[in-house]
Order: sequence, then structure tokens, then C-alpha cells
Amino acid sequence: MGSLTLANPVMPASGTFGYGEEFAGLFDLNRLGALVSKAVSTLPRHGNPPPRLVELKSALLNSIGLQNVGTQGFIEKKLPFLHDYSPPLIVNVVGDSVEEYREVVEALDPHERVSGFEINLSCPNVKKGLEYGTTCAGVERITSALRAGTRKPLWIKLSPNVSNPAELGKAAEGAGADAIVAINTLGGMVIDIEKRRPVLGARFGGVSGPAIKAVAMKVVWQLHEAVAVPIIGVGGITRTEDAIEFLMAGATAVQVGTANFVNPLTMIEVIEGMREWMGERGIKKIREIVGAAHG
Amino acid sequence: MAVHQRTRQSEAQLLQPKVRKVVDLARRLYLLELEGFPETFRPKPGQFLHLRPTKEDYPLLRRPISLQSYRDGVATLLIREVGIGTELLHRARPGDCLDALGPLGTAYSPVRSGESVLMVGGGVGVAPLVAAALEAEPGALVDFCYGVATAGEIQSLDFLSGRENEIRIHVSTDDGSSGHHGFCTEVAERLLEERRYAKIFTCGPWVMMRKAFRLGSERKVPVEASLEVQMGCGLGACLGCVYETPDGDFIRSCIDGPVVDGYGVSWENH
Repeated sequence: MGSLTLANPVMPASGTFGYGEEFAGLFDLNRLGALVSKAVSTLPRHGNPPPRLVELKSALLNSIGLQNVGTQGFIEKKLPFLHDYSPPLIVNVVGDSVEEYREVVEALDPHERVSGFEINLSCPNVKKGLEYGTTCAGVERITSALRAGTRKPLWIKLSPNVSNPAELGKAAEGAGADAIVAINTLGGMVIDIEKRRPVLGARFGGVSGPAIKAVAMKVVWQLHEAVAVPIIGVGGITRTEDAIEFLMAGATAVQVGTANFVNPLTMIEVIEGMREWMGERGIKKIREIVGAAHG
Repeated sequence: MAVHQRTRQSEAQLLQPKVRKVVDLARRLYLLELEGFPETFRPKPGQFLHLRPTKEDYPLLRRPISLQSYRDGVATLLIREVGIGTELLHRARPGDCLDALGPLGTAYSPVRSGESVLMVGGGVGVAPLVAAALEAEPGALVDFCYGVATAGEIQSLDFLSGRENEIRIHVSTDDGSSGHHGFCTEVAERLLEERRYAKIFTCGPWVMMRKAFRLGSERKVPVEASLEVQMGCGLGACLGCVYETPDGDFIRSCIDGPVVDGYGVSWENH
């Protein structure tokens, strides 16, 4: 993964794994390829009004609104716990302006435990997040500003709610991104027909879960043809075969999101399942299958 | 005000209990009995199991179900079929293995010897109250207001009687087919006029709990309520199941609840 070496290619998707503590009683976090934090902004955020979740067919609609403890809260309350674990720690960063993103990155950069940053340019649940994530100029601007603020790995997480995700990936790569994470949730909504109102307190939310896997797969495929930096595939992975499919589309690593809510051991099962799948076929290195479907 | 026993996430385990029995009580209302829990499974009254209705992708999420009792290695859950998840759980057969995460959430505070406690439960909301009544210490008095739509939905709570404490059950039905004709909160109000209670426990429809809370707050009696909110992970990670406090903060119903101090809930904003 660029300058980062991961013991395996499986990690949580930001926002589905808290700051790790919540799952630590159920399995050993050291077995993960990396840890990815919930989004961190400069100041704590309250999040969106409830209801925040709607279950869909094989999918989930959420509008959490990036509720988080803020940078200082993260350093004081969450980082000490993460010191007890060895996988690289990627902090997901969010902001309302280039300056806010940069403030978070610069505040966390000196902390040795922080291995790198995943820049959330694509959350559909905040008004301004998407502004940077939907144009090549926006992506370039923020990526170069953050590149100047850290030498640690910088991953750019893309939105699928655009017409040209591969172009945005190229823009991020050109501005110094070390990896591209694709995809974030798809924008969506549900209406309560009796109340004649949107169900979510914030009206709109993001769709995740098994139903979006095919969408994510296409974006990863297109990115693989457009960029040379590693791609981290995310969207609807619930089992080993899903992860392998992402690798064959061009991902070097994968993130597991909504499935963590359903089966908290999904990531462990995928790690073991991939090892077994590869073993049975005499595949020794992940890179033997990365992009294999492109022929 | 009320003291809640906060669960540490580490208490939660992934469990594979076996279905012992499914008992139909009324149309779309049933008891699910599970067994085969490990020694370390020690749920407290008010805590829940997060059950996965299927291994497939639909329905996707787990269903949080309060424990009505855990005795002699058997957990009893009172479930109303409200959708595909609870319908699939209804179809479980003896011997089936279920995927359960738990025990999760906060518990009702213990009912001590010499205390009088008023419990106000509606429909399947009586389940965690039954658990709390079962755990009441000898010498406690529990007035248990049990409200349902119609007589056919009443489950026998005979197992609560004949104990060293006094548990009095006051049934009310919406249609008058059994007990008091009307709401269980009307019975609760009458009881509150006769006796001073150490605390009120409530669980059921929001409107019923709001009324129970008002009855308590007017008399400065502590109220503990078990809330039901659409839940995601059940572990406190997804922040999906929040409700609002009077201070405008968001509290997670899975970890900070489901049993919460009634004075910490914004009852009007719902």
C-alpha cells in the first residue's frame, strides 16, 4: 500500500467501527490489516437529528452526520486505547473547508500512532463535504493542500455520486494522493407515506450494504484503468468472495463497512477466507489477483 | 437520578443459542425460548439480545429483543411480529441455532428489599419489566401494571407469584375484555394516589411511557424507561440509534440505554 505495509488487505470502513473500542471485546483488533477511525473534525460534532437509520432491502440508509469527538477529543480519549494495538492506524478526516481539513491533519501528524490519513471528500451527510469531492479542481485543491501538511500516507476517499469518479481519482493522484478509497455511500432517501415526510431526520442519507457492491465494483474497475496508485475497494462486502471480486476489479485492499453491524466477525472471516481461497488455488501473493479480471 | 448499570462492551458475546420452544400467545405474538448459553452469560433485567433473523442479506440488520427472563439456562423473549425480521424469528423451530449478540445495553436498577416499585408496561414492553420483577429482592413490593389491547394477548405471569416478595399484577385492556377497561397508566395513576413508590419502571409505546413519566415527575418519583429506537450495530459504534436529551445531546439507545433515566429523555420531541 504505497509506503505502508499491511499484514493483510482487510480493514474497517470509517464510521462502521467507531474508534475500535466497541469491537475489541469480540475479537483481537491486531488481526486486522489496518484500523480506520470514525471521521475526525477540528471541533466535536453533534451529528444529525434522529431518525438516523432506515433499513432497506439488503442495504442501509444512514444520516449520522459525522458525529465525532473532535481532534482534541480523539487525541485525549481515543488515541490512548489505540496505542495498545499494532495495525497501522488511518484517521478519517473531515472538514467544512480546506483549512479545517488541514488543521486536523496537522494536529494529528506529529502523533506517532497515526500512520496516515483518509480524506473524506464524499460524505453525503454534510452540506459542504461534497463540494470538494465532486470536481477535479476541488479534489486537486484539497489534496495538494493536505499533501503539503503531511508526509504520511494520504488516502482520498471518493464519492460515487458523481459522473466521473475515475477522473477525480486521477486528479487526486496527480495532486499527491498515495491511495484512492472507493466508494463512499450513495445518496438516498425514504418517505413515510402516512406522515407524508422523509423518514430520516436529515431527509437525505447515504446507502450502504450488499446492494451497492456492484456500483462500487464498477468504480474500482474504472479507477484501476485510470490511476497507478493503490485502490482500496469498499461497498457491500459481506464475505470472502466479495473481497476477492474487488481485488480482481483492481483493488489492492478492501474495507468492510455495514457488514460489521450485522456480523462483527466479518473482517476476520474474510481474512481467513481469503487465505484459504488463495491457498487452494496456489496463489501466493495478493498482487497475483489484483486487477486479474482486466485480462 | 436513577442509577443505571452501564454495560461494558466486553460483556457482550457472540452466542449460538438453540431454540427450545416457540409458544404462540396470540396472532403475531409469541414467546421464543432459547437455551445453550455459556456460563459467562449473565444478563441483567432490561438488557437485550441482538438477534440475526437470517444468514442472508435480507433482512440485513439484527433485531434487538429484550430478555423477559433468564432462568435455569433458558432465555425467554416476548416478540410481536412487526415485519420480516420478527416473522422469520417466529418461524424458528426447536433445535434451530440462532446467531445472537449479547447481553447488550443498560439494566433497570435493582429492586431492593423494603422498596415499593411501580412497573408500567404495555404490550411486548412488559418483557424487561418481568425480568426486573423476577429479580426483585425478598421483601420488595412490586405493583405491575400490565396493559394490552385485548384479553387474548395476556400471557400468564403466574411464575411471578408465590415468591418471598409481593408482586401484584394489575391487568388492563383497551377493549375491556379483561381487568381494567382502559390504559394501564390509569391504573398506575390510581396506585400512585394510594402509595409512595421508590421508583417507576416503564416500557412500552412512547405515549404510554411519556404518561408514566409525567405521573412520576409530578410526584418527584424517579422513573426508568426502556426505549426502542431503530438500531444498527448494538455495540455503540454506528451512532444510528440516538435519541435526544433535554440538553439537546444525543445518547445511544444501545449502550447508554435501552434503560435510561426518564428525566434524561426529551419526551415531547418525538
